[in-house]
Amino acid sequence: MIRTRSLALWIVAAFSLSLPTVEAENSLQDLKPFLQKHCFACHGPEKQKNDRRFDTLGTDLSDQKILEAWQDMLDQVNLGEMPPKKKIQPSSEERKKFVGGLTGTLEAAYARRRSTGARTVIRRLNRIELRNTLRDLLYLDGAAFRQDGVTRLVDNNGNGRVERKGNDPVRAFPEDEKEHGFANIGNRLVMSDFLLKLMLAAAEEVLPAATHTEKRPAVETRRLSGHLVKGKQYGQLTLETVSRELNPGFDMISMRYQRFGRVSPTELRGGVRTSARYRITVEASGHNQRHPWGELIKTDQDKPFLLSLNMADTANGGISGPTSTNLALWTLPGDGKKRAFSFETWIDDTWTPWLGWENGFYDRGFRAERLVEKYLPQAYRPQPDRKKVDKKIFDAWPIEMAKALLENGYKGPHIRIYSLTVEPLIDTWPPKSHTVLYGTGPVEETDVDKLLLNFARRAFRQPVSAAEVAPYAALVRSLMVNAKKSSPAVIKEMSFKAYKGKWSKLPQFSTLEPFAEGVLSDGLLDIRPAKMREHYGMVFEGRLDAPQNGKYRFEMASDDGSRLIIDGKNVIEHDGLHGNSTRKGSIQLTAGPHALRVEYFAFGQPNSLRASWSGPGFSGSPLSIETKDPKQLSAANTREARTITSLQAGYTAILCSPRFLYIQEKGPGLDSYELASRLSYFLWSSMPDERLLELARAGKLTNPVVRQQEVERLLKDPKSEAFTRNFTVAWLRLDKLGKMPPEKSGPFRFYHDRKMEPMMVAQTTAYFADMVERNEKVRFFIDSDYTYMNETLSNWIYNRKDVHGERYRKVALNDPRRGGIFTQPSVMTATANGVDTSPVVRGVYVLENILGTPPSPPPPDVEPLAPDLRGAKTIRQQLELHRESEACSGCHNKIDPMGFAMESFDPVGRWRDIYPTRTHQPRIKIDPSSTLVTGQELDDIVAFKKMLLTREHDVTRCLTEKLLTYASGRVLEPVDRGEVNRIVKKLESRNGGLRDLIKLVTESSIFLSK
Amino acid sequence: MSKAIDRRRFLRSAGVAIALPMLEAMGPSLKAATVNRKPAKRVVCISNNYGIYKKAFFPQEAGANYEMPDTLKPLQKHRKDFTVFSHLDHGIPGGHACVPTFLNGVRPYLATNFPEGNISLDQKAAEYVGAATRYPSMVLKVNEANLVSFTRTGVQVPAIDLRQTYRALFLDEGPQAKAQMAQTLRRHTSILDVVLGEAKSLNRQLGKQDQRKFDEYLDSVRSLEKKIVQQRPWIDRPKPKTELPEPKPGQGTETDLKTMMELIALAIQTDSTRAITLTSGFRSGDLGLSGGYHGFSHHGEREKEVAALKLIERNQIAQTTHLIELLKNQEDPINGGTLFDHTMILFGCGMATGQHSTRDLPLLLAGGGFKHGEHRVYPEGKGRRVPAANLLLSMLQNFGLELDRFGTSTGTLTGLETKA
Repeated sequence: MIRTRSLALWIVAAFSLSLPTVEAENSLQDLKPFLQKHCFACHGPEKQKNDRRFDTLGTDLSDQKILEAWQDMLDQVNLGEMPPKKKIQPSSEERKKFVGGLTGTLEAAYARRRSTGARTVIRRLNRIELRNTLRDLLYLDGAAFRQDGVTRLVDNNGNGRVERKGNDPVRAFPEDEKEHGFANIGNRLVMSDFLLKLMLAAAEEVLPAATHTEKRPAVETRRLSGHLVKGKQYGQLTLETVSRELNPGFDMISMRYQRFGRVSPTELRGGVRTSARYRITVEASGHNQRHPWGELIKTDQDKPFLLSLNMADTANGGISGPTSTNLALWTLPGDGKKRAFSFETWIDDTWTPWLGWENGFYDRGFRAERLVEKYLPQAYRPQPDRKKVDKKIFDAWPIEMAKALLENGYKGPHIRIYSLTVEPLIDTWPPKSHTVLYGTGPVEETDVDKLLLNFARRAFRQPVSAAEVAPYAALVRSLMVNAKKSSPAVIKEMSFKAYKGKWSKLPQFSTLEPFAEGVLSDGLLDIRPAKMREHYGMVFEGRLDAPQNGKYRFEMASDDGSRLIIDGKNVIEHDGLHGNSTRKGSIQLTAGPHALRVEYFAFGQPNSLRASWSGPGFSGSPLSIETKDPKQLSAANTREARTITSLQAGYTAILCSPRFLYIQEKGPGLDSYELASRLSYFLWSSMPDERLLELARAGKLTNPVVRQQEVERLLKDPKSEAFTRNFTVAWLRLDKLGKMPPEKSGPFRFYHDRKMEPMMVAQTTAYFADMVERNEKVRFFIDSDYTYMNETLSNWIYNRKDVHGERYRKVALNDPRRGGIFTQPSVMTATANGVDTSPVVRGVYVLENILGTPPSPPPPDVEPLAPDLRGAKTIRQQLELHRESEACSGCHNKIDPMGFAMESFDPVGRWRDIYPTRTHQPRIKIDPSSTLVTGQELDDIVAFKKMLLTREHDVTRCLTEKLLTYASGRVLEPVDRGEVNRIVKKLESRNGGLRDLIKLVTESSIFLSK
Repeated sequence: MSKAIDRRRFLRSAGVAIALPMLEAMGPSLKAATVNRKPAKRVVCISNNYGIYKKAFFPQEAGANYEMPDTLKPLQKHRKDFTVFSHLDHGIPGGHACVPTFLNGVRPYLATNFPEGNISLDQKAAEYVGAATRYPSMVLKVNEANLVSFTRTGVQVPAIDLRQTYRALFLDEGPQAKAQMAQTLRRHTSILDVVLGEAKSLNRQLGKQDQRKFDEYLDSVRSLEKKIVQQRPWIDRPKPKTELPEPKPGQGTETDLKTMMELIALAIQTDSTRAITLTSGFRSGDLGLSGGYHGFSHHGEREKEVAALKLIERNQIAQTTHLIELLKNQEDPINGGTLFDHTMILFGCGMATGQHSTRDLPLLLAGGGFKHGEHRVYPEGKGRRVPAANLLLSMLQNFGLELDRFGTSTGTLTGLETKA
């Protein structure tokens, strides 16, 4: 460390730039001598050039106009515009002092304007918190509620196609307003009528989804055994396919999976078909862990096999697509013994399980015949010449070779899968999501108040009295009264006749005697009045009024046959025995009444009849009680159904109430209930659970011992994934990922092809989570000898071939360039713009998010750098401008050197030694060296990290501030500095790690008060 | 009011016919407008997210006889009907972060310093129109995100794409859904009454600072209730009919933008809305170009990229011309004259160039009854620059608002006059 006067000056300058103090305020007076000497002549009592006068300029910086005037003055001096060139110029020292002093004073003034008095302003739940809260409030489950289901409408094409579809209730919510990357700052988040409307829609979507008035779904346990995979695949999978022919009892896995090699039951190709909690049991055995074929099949014979259980969404990329989620990793010793493994999880209807051999051997060119050639030479025949033989013989050869290999006893390592059982765990019906809303048993009107009160107590996260719930109950009651009116009949004067009989196609109903007949006042086709399940038919007749002349399209889906007739003409002919496929038909109609007749019959179960019509100016208007959603009944007349629907409105109101949407804190000190919410939203991004609420009720959370126990419990709970994810993204500004991603075509296309963005976030999140779990020291963020990787990241970013499979696992690094969190590809991509990199951007990032000494913003008139990429100028050469101008160098001497070391990482975080070039352009080597303002020279990223290690204290302080910001929902202010220092000191004194820091945060006065 | 409107004249150049428009479905305001003799104005703001290539956009000469720059060549024959402005901007740095400031000149995080926050021009106009049209405003996007529309509480208005726009304009739900919609709105009104009551009692318990923030919630409830009331009569009114089929999305940069312009023209003609913003982008592979819009905007003066960027921008101007021609060919049933006479079309961006400069924004204004035909060059020097918000204020006054300030404006734009 160079101890010189300039260092002292630097420290003072940095201090004054980042720590505006009360003393700095008075320095407006201190500036007077400078102003007198250089400014008053033209901007004083005699002359007021450009209408500016400084001798009478006020010093009350809370006045917007006065503040702007001083800022303008600073900008002019910074740009070197003032004093004008022909006047006496201040010395370099004078200028620095003036600029430094005024900058500090103005920063303090801006900080005061932003100030919320160091108190959290009432904070609305952001959309992630909303989603998680709905999940926990209603006991919902599924892919839509998982942490990695980041709600993002990726819609760069504007064609609606790329939007994230699904059941995520907040998928339509816009991005939350952020401050410094944090999406949970009370003062910053905004409530609008758009948002309220979206909340209404989300509530009205999620409440029916939680309601289950239908019967318990008949999902049987499915035991798929013998062969999970039906069908034949050759190429790399020839051995597996032939094995199936020879061995009816199991599926063989001989290699690690790549694009191929994932074993998924063909029967579940469309998914498990019913969303529910399941137990998956797999019977498997591992063979030949030690084997004699080590020359061709290179495996680590000391290690047992690893079999992974995963699931993926067949409706969104399938088993080798981006939704693939690892569930379990089972150790399978290769000793031939059959073992059973189980795992319980929620699986959505379109998802399916798959198995893979994680640490198997993989060779793209691997073929059975090579093994035969080497180890069974007597059975070997060389490959026939394609030119000389028939295609049939040519294609049969590899199969013959595989057969020979297997028949002689396959000595290579492999796994055998005997069965996969998918067992639904629907023990309670209706599920908890339903009973928490309606109780168990039939819902009566008298239950309404109690149900609403219980719900409100959890939704509002605070004590609620019956009186407070009264308006909601009144709402529900008034709706129940109104609901007696049903929607206007669509088909007028509608009647039905029901007939008994066993037919395989529509009979001549006119020749038969009905066993029942009646009127359908709802005006919708409904097969329930027949009260039969099979061997019956129905005829519906009524009047359909066409609103105008035009073409009308009808759609009908029936199980079994049906026919739709208008004015005697067959419009839809859908006879015969079949499932409920849809048929369409159309007809020109004049405005006015038309005779409608629908004939239907059912042979066996299931039976259903569904129809709708479209016409000029409208589409998809239902003609039947059944709609595409089996749970939605368009006109449920029962009293219970009315109660349920009305109750849903009451719950919707509760979910739109400010007591739900906002975290309420009275302050200054927080009571037990308020602490419960702070803890749960900090560590789970969700509402307090039963235990926290119990402790709150008993007033116990004001006791630090109890509090710390809860912190530990919350951290251990899987819901803390929300913390490790959301905080990491906020701290490291990973929200910028996807804002300016690399091009879909071009040198970074693999970023899109390999879907690397979520992988990068997952890597960094895993790294952070591991540090929390092991209570690792903060310096391991700066550098370490390990990182997290999966196969894709290791191949494409780290250029390694030794990591296999898509799981993220800890990997040892022997490369001093790569350790730590700050140079991971996620950070490097977030600090680039998808095209090129900039030491200024990355330098600012280091100062803002790693060291916590953010630079001042640039003066407004400065034109941004417009790089001329035609020439051979490096970014370094272009940034020389910063050094040349004294006005710029003040800040840029601190910024630029922080970013040069990272030039070694390209816009997606790969290491590079030269800048990308086109043909005929000279190759330019990257020069990552820099000189800090202290004079210290850094050669490269390794030296840079060493330097950061010497500043571990600053990194810890910055991280503490970020944690406190995230935990309290407010931006820290100068007055908080003392508390921050106290925490850092305490952590350092006990040589603590990240988990200790989190606990210190929850014990700080900033966290415990509003 | 002339009933003898030649409907076939409309969209003739596009070969698309539209069935009888809104005469039957006339809302009460149309009738009112003809009684009050106040013209009904419309405004369309067209933008992209990457600025423009300045050398091909701004004419070299000032005044009326400038040589038409490359990017503006499609507008050649409408020279007399538009104005290009040089040296106007909002005076704020920020690169991409300034794209959302196009129609207000206020950075979102500084919105609290302004009496109306960072409300954008179209939303201000929409507030004025109120319930007179089915949609107070329409925020549209084609192959790009639309970032320019903000309400007075600082929320970005979500944008809709081609298909959603078509459906919003022309697709009726059917009698069943309409009845349900009425029921839903009634239910929502009741729900909002309950939560408003709750909110008022909560508000009394809050400290001053929280109350200021919580005002947003109270405003939201009241505003939503108001919108429900405004929306109610529109449920029963049938939407206008058109022979234009529902557009297929993803037909490419050129076609998608062209179709969207046609929908805009139809929206204006059917008086479905009077305030529109549109942001368009570029899909890699179109116009014979391979690469992304963002990449081209960082051209670094390289020939290939500059040429690509110019092609993209020229297409935007060409489609804007198409819109102008559609509107010129259609009589204005409310005001008389053509639709173009009473529709302001603003083309521009909150960021000037792909290099993140925000100095000298691209701004081009057509129609609306202003005197056009010139390249207006405003002072460049420090202390003499004119805020772009002055243009926005002039537009809003033309729209009918009695306003003397908008965002960062210092007055109306000198030199921009309306025709007599």
